[in-house]
Amino acid sequence: MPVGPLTARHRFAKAPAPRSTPPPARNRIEALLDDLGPQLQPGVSLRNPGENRDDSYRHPSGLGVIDELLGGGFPRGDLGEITGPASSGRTSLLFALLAQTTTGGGHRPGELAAVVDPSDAFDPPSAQAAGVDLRRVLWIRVGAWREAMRCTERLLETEGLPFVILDLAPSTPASARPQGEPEIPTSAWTRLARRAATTRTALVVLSHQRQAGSEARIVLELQPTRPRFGGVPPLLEEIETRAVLVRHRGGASGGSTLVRLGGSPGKRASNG
Amino acid sequence: MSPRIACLLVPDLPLRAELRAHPESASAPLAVASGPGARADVIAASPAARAAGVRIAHSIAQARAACPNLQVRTASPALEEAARATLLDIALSLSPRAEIAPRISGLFFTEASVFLDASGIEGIFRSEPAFASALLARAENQGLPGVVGIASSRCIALLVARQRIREGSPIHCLPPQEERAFLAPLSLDLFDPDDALAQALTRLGIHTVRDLLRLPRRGLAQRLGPGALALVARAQGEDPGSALPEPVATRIQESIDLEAPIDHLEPLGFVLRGLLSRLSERLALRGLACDALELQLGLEGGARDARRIGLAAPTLDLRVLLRLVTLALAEQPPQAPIEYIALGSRGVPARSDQLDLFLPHGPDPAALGRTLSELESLCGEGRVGAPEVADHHNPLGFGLGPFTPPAASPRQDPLPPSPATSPAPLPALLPALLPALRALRPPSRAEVRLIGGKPAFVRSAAARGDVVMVAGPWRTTGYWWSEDERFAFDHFDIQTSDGTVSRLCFDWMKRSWLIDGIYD
Repeated sequence: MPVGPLTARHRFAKAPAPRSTPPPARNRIEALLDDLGPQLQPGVSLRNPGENRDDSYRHPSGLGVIDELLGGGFPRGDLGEITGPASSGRTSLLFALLAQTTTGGGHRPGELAAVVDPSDAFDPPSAQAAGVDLRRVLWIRVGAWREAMRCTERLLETEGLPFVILDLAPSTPASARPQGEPEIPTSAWTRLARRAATTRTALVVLSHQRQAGSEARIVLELQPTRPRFGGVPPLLEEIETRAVLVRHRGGASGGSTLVRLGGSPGKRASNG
Repeated sequence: MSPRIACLLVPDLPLRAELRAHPESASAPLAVASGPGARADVIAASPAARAAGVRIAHSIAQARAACPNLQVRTASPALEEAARATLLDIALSLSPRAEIAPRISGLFFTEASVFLDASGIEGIFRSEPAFASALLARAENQGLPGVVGIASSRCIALLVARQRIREGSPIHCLPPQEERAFLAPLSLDLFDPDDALAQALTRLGIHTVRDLLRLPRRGLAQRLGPGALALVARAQGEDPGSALPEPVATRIQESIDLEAPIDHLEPLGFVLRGLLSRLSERLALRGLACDALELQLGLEGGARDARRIGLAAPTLDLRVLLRLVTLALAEQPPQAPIEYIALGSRGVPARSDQLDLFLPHGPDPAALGRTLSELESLCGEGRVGAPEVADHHNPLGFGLGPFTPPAASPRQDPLPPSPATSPAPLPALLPALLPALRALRPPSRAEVRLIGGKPAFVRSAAARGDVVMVAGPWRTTGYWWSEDERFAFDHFDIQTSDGTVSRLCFDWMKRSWLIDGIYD
């Protein structure tokens, strides 16, 4: 039978005290728990504080299966990653996220989003066709990754900007670094993750391989299966890809789903 | 009720203008000379220089003899003009109507004064002395310490201020009923009559206002000319000008004449920092922000270099402004060493936003403006903004406009679910279109082998291998009437054996194959 995470009070109050713990330390912990009492009600987990956040603090993609896999979308105040090779559907997913954020998906008011784009790969017509409200997108055509990181940090310092995307996907396979070779030092990601947490901004990094390491709360890997050309004469209709939740801190990782990106709305996403 | 006019008077403007631009010399013995060379006169001296024996009207040689470590600067019209304009900004920060006094020659040629409407200020400052204190404090913050006199006319307010300098206390608010008594014992020197009139009055033994007003006007006019009548009018406190105006011009400029030409960016940065700091302080006094900078450089040899530096959003962030100016100069250096710099800006009101109780609040417009400007200083001009779809059919075209997002729209209630629709939260408004495209800028050149008119093999930095699937071609043409802008492409959507799905195009103008985007 699955058992949920223990509440803080349960874990500290009901577990037998280890012999090595001196009584004063235990008393201090008890006192601390009493002080934090209103915030640590039974049923609230310490292990996964993100689980208690309201859905309005997540950025959904509007693609049912992806949102279900992510537990509602990319959470605010955290760093998420979308990885995958070229033609795996990263940009389609990015545009879906932008469309939902900037238009609210018809359910919420549209909000602002920023795209830091060192590859200069953002295609306005394609984004508009995907339903993105371009007026609410701040596009930063920055030169190199160092400047991209600085721009991202500056954006994350701006209160009230809810969604920032850092697109580090290389323009061509030749310009990508080999697998396993990090391009950016870990300390930079730590800094960005802290900034995002401070201003409650959702930071999503798009890349061909994992970049942020353990700082990423969610890592979604897209593995292209096949593009779908249909009709006579044949037309490119969809990109079919497998989305694998490689990492979900505090949630169930390892899940996967088949997604078809592009095509008609009814077929836009489906379970595989 | 009689109007109330305040006069902010800075007695030694040449010295203050120099110290405002060179605050590091504040405690040093400093003299401002009327011109270059040892024969020029001292027109202003700092307290340290005066303590060492330097006096106004000394020659520079005399002043150096009295104070060997004296710093001498030649009076700079550019700095003085900026300091005078700053006085007006200070006045306008406290009153809607203000006027800078015209330049004068004679005894008080080093002073600068500004008049501002002080009627009804008790409602805000509780009392006239409190208003005067606030005015004085703002002037001191701008490096222009002075005195304040408040009276019922410009003329009396100026006299009150001049009298304050002699008596050494900075503020005097003169009630209307005491003005006659105040004016009577004043020396006529305070009115700075012209030399001929002053000598004539001295010969007649007329030294004070009381002496002058005892004389019949007609006789004065006959013997001493119309200048005497004007002096009588001023001695009675009559205002020669009209009511104080409400200035509308918001262009603010700071300039400096450099002592030696500068030909490197690093030393220039220090000068620019000072200029921008003073410029942004003056804009802040008027409640404005800088949306563009107008940079004028006077170059060695007499050439001029003028350029405009646009900002993504209005800001007063000194770091951002300095970075933008230095970037502009580094990208396009001037042709000769710089002798004169002027930085101007037409201030614009800082952005504001009305928050809504029921909508998520976006970034504070001022903070967003600072962010945008800083981003632009990092990325370069024209690289930060809102993406736009170009108004033509060239597939390589796009636009980047200013980022001015619309206000958040009110919450829309979701449509009731119908049994026919899927339970998954699909975006029903999204159109059915191709997968998203990642643009390649510039497009990647490709080598293509054709079989039966269709691509069969592609080799490029973006995709390589046999073509597994192909769709197309689609022809796009436009601007056929323009030699420079015309375009004609044949586009194919292809999948290569390396798994990449890309947009391949043949450019009929250049007769070459390109991959201009990857479907992703």
